[in-house]
Amino acid sequence: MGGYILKRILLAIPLLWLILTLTFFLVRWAPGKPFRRERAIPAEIEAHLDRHYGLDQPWYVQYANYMRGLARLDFGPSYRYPDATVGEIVRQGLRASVPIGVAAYALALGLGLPLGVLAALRPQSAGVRALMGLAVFGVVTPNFVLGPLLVLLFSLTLYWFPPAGWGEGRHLVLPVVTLSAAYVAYIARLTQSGVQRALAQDYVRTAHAKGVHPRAILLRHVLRPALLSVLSFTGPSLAFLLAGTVVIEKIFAIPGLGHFFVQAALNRDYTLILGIVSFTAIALIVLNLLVDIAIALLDPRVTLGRGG
Amino acid sequence: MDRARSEGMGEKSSVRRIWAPFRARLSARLAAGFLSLVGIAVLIGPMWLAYGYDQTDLELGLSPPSLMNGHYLGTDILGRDLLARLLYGGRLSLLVALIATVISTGIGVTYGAISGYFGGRVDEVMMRAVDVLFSLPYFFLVLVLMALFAEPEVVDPMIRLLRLRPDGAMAEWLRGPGVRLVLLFAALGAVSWLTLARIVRGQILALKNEPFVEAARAAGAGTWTILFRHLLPNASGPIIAYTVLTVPSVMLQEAFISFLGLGLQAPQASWGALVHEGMQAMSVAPWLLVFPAGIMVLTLVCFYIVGETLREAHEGHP
Repeated sequence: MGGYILKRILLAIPLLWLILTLTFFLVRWAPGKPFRRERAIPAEIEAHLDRHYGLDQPWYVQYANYMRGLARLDFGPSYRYPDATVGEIVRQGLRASVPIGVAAYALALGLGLPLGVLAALRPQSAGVRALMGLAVFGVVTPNFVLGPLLVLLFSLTLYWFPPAGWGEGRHLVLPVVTLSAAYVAYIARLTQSGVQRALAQDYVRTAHAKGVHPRAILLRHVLRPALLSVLSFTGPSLAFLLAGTVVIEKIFAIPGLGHFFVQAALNRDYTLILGIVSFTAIALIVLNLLVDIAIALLDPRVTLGRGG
Repeated sequence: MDRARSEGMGEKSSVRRIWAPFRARLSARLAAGFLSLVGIAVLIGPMWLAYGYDQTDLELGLSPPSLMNGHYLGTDILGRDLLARLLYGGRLSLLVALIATVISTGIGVTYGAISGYFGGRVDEVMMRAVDVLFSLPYFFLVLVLMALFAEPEVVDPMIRLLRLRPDGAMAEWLRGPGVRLVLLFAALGAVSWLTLARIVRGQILALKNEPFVEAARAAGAGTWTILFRHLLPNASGPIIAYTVLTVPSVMLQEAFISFLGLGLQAPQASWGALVHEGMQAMSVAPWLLVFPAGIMVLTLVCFYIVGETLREAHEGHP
């Protein structure tokens, strides 16, 4: 077990380096220069700006400086917001994005798991079938369609929740529901098929035959493998969740990480783009590592090396 | 090339095989019918329209759907006909989705086939790489690409490669609105092949020890002939199913990008951009949100149903 975890950590480091390097060169190779955009500025001022931000140095010096900064978790200054560092902007964005993301994922698990189990145990019930039919729509309805429709219904017609804004608890409701809808549906479907698969296994029949209480069978023999398939979907879903926050924050005017990222992309704020992509890459890799370790702890089959 | 030819040989039977699961399921037939309708509508529909997608009429701005003035689905704030914009937007959305899907299928099939066929260490490394790519924030990279690389000089290598005249109409178009379209094809095609690579690898792995492969090898067929003429045609069912499932996911990503304002630029507008325009006007003109959102979700659901039907037919379980 310890060896497996160590191996995964050692694998994560080159991966992290790879993605940071890739992003660095992607941004560096982009046509155009950071300060030569909409307004023409005098050559001396541009040269001065380049010198100030170290852009007059050869690429390998810039690369080394950037990597050295990252090692200290220093993402450098923002080109467009000179009075804030990228680190400060990222931290400020996280204050809004993290609560939304965590709440959405908790809601997805809290609703999706029971719904999926119910759907697998009561396949004949009309209500459950209707809910799972709805889940098909949930999986494919994009959040940028769902969000505005929810606003139209709950804010502009029923006046229950504010249509946009940030700061109070009631501002959280619509964004969290919008972000989590697809995951509720997806986790419900994953759980349903996982439970169905487990129910058909021989060891479940054996447990029934020797008189184990049905609830104990469900908890010990059926839910555990079903949970594993949900858990292994966590990695990709975190990536999608992060992408989802970009859209949600645009719809609901929330000053989160995704909002700053789109602004940075539209403003061509190179360091801020680089900083946010680097940060999300680091966060994703670390979270994936934790998920893999959790799977290894839950699933005795994985301990020897790679998972299914 | 080889693969296309060998698929063509058994064309009749494979068409029947693909259609079989649709017989059993009404929803799949309805979905396939709806998709055909959408396809025909966006292809030839604009020919019968009285309005162009970028034709403004400020006096009729924000007029609701009506049969009287010829704007059957209403107009937007500049008086542009929503039906025309929906049809042209559908062209763009479907074009991006289909071409990016073709690109990603090409990458995914080749990658998966090589990984599965050679096995061992090659397979280990290649599949590890897919695991890793699965959890990258590639959506952010696509956004970076769309934001920073939409410049005329980006397509210059392509113009040279295709030997277009640098001052010709085609090159002009490529440097203008074409840049973003090309970037969308490339970026979405490059990030959507992972699932297919896994599926194909699994299929090849299961097939490569079958007697017919050995027979082909005994008959002197080379590695690539075996892969592309004997193995891949036998895996065509799942490949087609997952290719169909890739279309809605690419469409969705394009819509995301356009919604964020990083896709094609106005007056061109794909469905995602129309939803965004609709969102901004929804309190005064809800039809601008409801129609684009509705047609897009229905199209996505139908692609999804068709893809799932094909997939279940091959895997035998929901």
